[in-house]
Amino acid sequence: MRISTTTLRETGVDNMMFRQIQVNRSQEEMASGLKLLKPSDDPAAMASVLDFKASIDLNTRYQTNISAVQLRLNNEETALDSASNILFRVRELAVTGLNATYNRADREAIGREVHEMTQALLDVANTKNDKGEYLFAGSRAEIKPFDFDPESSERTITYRGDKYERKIQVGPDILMNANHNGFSVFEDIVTADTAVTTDTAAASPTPVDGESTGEETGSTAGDAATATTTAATSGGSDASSKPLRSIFNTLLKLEDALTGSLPEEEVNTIVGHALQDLDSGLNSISDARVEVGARLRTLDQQHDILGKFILDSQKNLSDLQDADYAEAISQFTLHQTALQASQQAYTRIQGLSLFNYL
Amino acid sequence: MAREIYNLASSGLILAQRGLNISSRNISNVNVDGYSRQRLETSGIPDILEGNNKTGTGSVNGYIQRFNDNFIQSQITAQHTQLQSADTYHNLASRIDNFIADADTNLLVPMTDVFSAMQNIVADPTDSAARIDMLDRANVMAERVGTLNDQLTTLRDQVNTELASDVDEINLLARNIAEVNSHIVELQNNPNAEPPNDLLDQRDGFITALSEKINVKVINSDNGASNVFIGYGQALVSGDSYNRLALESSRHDETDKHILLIQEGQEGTLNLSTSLTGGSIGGLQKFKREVLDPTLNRMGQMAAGFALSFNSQQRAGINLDGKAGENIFTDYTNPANTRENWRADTKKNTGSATLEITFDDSPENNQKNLIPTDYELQYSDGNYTIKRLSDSQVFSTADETLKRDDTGKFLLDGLKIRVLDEATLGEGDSYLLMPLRRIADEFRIATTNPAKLAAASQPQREWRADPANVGLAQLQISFDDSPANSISNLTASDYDVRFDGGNITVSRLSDDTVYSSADGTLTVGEDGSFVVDGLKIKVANGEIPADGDVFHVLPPESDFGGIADNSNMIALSQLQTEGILDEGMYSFHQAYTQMVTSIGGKTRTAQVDTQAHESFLAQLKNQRENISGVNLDEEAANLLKYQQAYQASAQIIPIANAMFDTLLSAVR
Repeated sequence: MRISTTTLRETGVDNMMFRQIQVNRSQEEMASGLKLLKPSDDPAAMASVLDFKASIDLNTRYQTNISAVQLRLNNEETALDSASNILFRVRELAVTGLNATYNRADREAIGREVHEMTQALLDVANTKNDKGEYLFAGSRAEIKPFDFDPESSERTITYRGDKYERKIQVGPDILMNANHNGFSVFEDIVTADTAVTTDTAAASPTPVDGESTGEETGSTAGDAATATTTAATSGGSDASSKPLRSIFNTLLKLEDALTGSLPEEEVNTIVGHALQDLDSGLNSISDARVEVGARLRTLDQQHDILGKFILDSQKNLSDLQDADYAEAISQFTLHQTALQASQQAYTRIQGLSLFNYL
Repeated sequence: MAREIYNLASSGLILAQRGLNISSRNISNVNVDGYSRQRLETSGIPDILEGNNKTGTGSVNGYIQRFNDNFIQSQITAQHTQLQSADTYHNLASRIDNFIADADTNLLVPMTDVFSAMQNIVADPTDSAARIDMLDRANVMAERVGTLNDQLTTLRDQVNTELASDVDEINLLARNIAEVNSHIVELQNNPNAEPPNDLLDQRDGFITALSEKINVKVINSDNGASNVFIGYGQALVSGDSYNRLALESSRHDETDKHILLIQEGQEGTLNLSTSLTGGSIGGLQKFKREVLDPTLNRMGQMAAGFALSFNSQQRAGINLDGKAGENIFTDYTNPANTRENWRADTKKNTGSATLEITFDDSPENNQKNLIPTDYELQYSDGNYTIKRLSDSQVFSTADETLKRDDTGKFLLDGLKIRVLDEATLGEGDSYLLMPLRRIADEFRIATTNPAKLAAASQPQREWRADPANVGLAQLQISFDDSPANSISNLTASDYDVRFDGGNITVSRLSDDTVYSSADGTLTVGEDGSFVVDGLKIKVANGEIPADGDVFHVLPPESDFGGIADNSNMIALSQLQTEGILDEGMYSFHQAYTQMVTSIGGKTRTAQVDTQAHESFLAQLKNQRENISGVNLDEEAANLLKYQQAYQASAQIIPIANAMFDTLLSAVR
């Protein structure tokens, strides 16, 4: 057995190189705080890291969306709250108007208050959000949804929005409606006034769902909108069978009856119908409020669920890619000691030579 | 007697001198790589018989032994080849490995940003800040695609540069080996010359260097020459003659280089590309084949898939101007954006036909069908054959596995391939199709106008056929996507569409306005479609309506499409998680992750290979060193040994002199 001087030297150098690589790796780990630096470090783990990162990102995004929806629903809840307060007051006024002891002047005074209340309700229904969009205008957010119809000879308020309700994604498979359209809240109200066949302007484009055509029907081929066709507008199938009246027009009729010169009997009939319609209107608004409340609760839950997902993913992500400092430091110390040892061994061995003694 | 003693002394002196000489040489070569230590082997000259007496004549016979193990040397050569191959592969692959998943350079981050920005539009479709933000991020993403693609193309150039310099080096080494061969043969066959030990070391060095470039087989002939073979046994060096290698562009693709062997004294060349393995050349070719080209194609597939799916969803929507959406990214269905994605066989083709390869976005043939591979198209006997190179599947017009559309374009794997000037095709002409290779380079945003983002959906209209209809025709009603149209042209009215004697009459029932093709108030397009109040109507199922058939277009179920409608943006944002690539198997994120895993895995394998070969080689080198390496302590001992021998031999001369003097004085 013999060994060459080169082998002796290179073994030492190789040893030091190897230790230095380990020290460098430990240093990188500690500096970056990551143990997974490149895909080749652990391809499968890197794929999981990318997946977890994407999932955290997406879920955080859903949480942001939830906040946006919550803001909108809170706006709407405030508006609906004001609207029902207004309608309660109008209902009180109408009941008072039915009082037989009230004379015309008294009724006129009541009628004027009803007028004020109508204006107030109009303001509420035309509420804008922080982005300047009309809350109850469907997708026509730039158009004031409720206004007097200038073309009509009668004093009527028409709805100029549409039945669109904005959906926002708040979970992998959950689209949440962020608002109600003005039609479903203020217009889609069955009236007790049987003389009326159609009143609300927006009722006209309602399709005849109840009527089965029995024929081939097709829809436009654009598959874009199919993702969102769940937009079940609350047009309701009974829209065609029962007459609808906008709550505004109920108020206008009430005001007209109270301030007008109709015989008391007729006034009482109109006020009686109006009372029933006001109750229906209050129901409609209350339904919307219940829905808003339910949505807000769902959103809270969803927010928590997403939070848990994010937390879990972050933990998994950290397990996969983050360096364990305690381990990294002890590894570093170990490699450092080994490097020092091989350096010392090298200098000692290189000092050994027979030539020293010649 | 004295003569013998003097001879003995001088032969001892000469031997000690040679010993000192050799030890000194060993010492001075201690750090020379590949040096094989030498030793003076001595043997006594046979004693001379004079009568009954034997007389020693001194140990003058010495020859220089070179310590070398051919078996280990050949193993070292083989290990060098494999190590260099794995190392070259690993070095290049780790370049991709470094940037493909890095938090600052990967594609996923800007891509996720685009989708995040889209969620802002979903929440606030009218917010122009959100729209501008999304376009900015889309632009950043497009730039990132370009940067990544540049990195990959740069690597491709580098592979070619390295191939060229490797070929030059191989040629130089082959010449050197042949030259050294001739000297060795000359010296070995000369009985008076010393053995050519240093030349042998030098040749071993050349062969090792050669083995780092390419897999070689060395056969030593009896006269001392080493013959070097490459590929499937083609001679690179044979005795004192050698052949040269040359690089040549492949017949289809000038960026794809082949290696040719130019044989001395023979006509023609030999293509060695597929047979050359091992060494840096083998590593380069393997890297290009296994990592680089698949990654380039995958990037192309993602870029094209992203652009195509976004563009078609965008076109299905309505933008803030109330018009049908336009392309938001590069339109890969337009041949202007897919140039230079094919190559004609410049050596063989006799015709001059050219190709046009675009991407299809029809429901049957679209981005879902894209496959990250190249293709070969061939024309023979009036038939076209397209071979998919990833799995060698062949599609041919002969057996109708290759489909052509009405305009004569071939539809395959989400591609539309058109042969221009078909008449000029030559028999047997072939083309290489690389539809995805360069496509990522063209990936850009196509609009900078935030209002052009189509957040709203196009209004849909239902229709039904009149019960009295005789024909089986069905209608297709869509929003007219011409730039002149806008949703303000739409009405809430219902319509009756009547087909009569080749004429079409449309009545708007709200005000009984009648448009008719008979009097020119209704214009019917080439595809049989006509536009009324912003609605494009046509017969969808290829049936011809019978005379008198009437279709009722129902009033709109809802009149969405206002500026606050976000439903198309929701559909766009859902492209983030939707399976878009590989027949719907992977979302963009998954496709990218899959690419990262594949590159990471290959890099890791190469790294493990490199380390394994490194440690094999280190062991072999140690073994070689143990036999051939110089040990300084040993040489120091040898120096002492020969010094003492020299001193002792020198002392013999005065002693012999004294003896002679004593003898002379005795007889005097």
